[in-house]
Amino acid sequence: MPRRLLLALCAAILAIPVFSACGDGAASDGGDAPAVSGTASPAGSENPGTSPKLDGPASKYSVSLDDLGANWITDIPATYVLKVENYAATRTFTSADEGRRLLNEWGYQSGYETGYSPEGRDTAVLNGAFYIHVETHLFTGEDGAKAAMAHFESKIKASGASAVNMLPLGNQSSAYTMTFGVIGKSKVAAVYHQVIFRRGNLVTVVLTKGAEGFMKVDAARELAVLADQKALGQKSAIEPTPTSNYTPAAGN
Amino acid sequence: MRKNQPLLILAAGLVLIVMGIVAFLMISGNNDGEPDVSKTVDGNKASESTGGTLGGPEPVSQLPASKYIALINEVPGENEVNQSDTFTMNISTFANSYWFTNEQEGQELALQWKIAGGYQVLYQPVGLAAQVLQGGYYTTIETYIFADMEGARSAYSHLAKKLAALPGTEKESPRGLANDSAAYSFVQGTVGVSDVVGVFHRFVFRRGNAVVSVQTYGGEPFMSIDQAREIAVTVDQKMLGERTATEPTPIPTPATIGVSQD
Repeated sequence: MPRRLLLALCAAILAIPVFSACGDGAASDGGDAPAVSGTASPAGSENPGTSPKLDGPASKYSVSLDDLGANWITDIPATYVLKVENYAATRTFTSADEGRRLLNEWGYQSGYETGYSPEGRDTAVLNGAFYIHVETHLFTGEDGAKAAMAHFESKIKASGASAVNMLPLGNQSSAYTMTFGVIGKSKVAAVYHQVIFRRGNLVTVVLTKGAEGFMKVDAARELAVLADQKALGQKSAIEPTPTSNYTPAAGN
Repeated sequence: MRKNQPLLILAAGLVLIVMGIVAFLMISGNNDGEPDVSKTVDGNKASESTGGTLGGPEPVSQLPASKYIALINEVPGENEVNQSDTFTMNISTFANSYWFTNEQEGQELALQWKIAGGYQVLYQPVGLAAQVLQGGYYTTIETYIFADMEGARSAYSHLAKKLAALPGTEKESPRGLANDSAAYSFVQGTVGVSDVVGVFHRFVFRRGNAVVSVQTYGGEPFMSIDQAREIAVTVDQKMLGERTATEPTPIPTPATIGVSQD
């Protein structure tokens, strides 16, 4: 008997380090949050909080050039307002019909996409800068936003991206990374990070592209925080100056 | 106690099972999100540089100084020429260089040492700082030709003292090369916005009437003085006639003005 008990106790003691090691990820339950974002909590953690009902246009909750400071250039061809009609035909959906059906189901109100390039472009990226792409989508209600977020996450996962740990953001969030292609004419791999979060009826996706060795999820998360602050009214949400009437081509 | 034995075994077993399940969930939970760490810097330093001729002849190298430079295909890695930092030296550019505290000192010493000409080339990794994080490095090679041995000796001695006196500079002790040589390292900041420490290594030597400096800049985990010394060996072999000395394709630069033309 004592030997059996001892074995059971040994097993219990051996399990303790496993808990200790995993305890690092406890920030999501209100524990001490780490100073640096992007390393403390499992991807997709929920962080219920204020869940506002936001009005359009979606563009005012995006990241603006002013938020970034100097040395950035707006990617005008990648900047446009989204509506059911032009968004349904993009590769976010398997077909335009599916797009229209889902967007209507979700109560799609409007969306906005924009991008920013660092001055110096690939040369700057090889020295630690990165490209930015931001998508902002507004829905009539929270349920539609939740359903859309689930769809977007499934599309990101299907692209081959891997989930990465990130301090939660908004009411729901997750983060992903993927290494694909190279930067410019170099052999340095290009690393993509995507942060997706929902705040009330708003879903925002922030993507960064940089050089391997320099990039972490932190950069995308910091940009997502700016967008979230606008959604929460903690930062002025100003509609950006319209840049074009460009319509994304089907399949893009 | 005997009566409680089955209960105790059951309790211990249940604790074990619960622990096992929890541990499994924790482990699989951690695997959900891959650690968001870019490719780990796995230092792999170059092997020790021991080649080249220590001592030996004191030849008189002829202009242009550029023909003794290690060409781009003689420097390891995938590099390109940084054109703005590649140029032929004249008295003016030499007198205004890092060798001297001010232009006046530079002018005086350049004339005293009778500099005939110089050349500098900067090779940079095609992938710039990002490639440095993977073991690439920047290389700056400078060659200076003096009218006689005495001028080259004085110039070498001045340069070696100047470099050794820079705050933060560490003296390195690789195998010597040519008629005189010295080596240094200097750790400064990090590579770009990364956490990888950046380090300069510089190998200087004199061969006859020529003074040569080879400087590398790379990530500390990858770098030692050996990369700079290996390139210095290539330059020295050209000065000794052991390797073909080919003038590189010219890049538009100011004309060389030797002392005889000044």
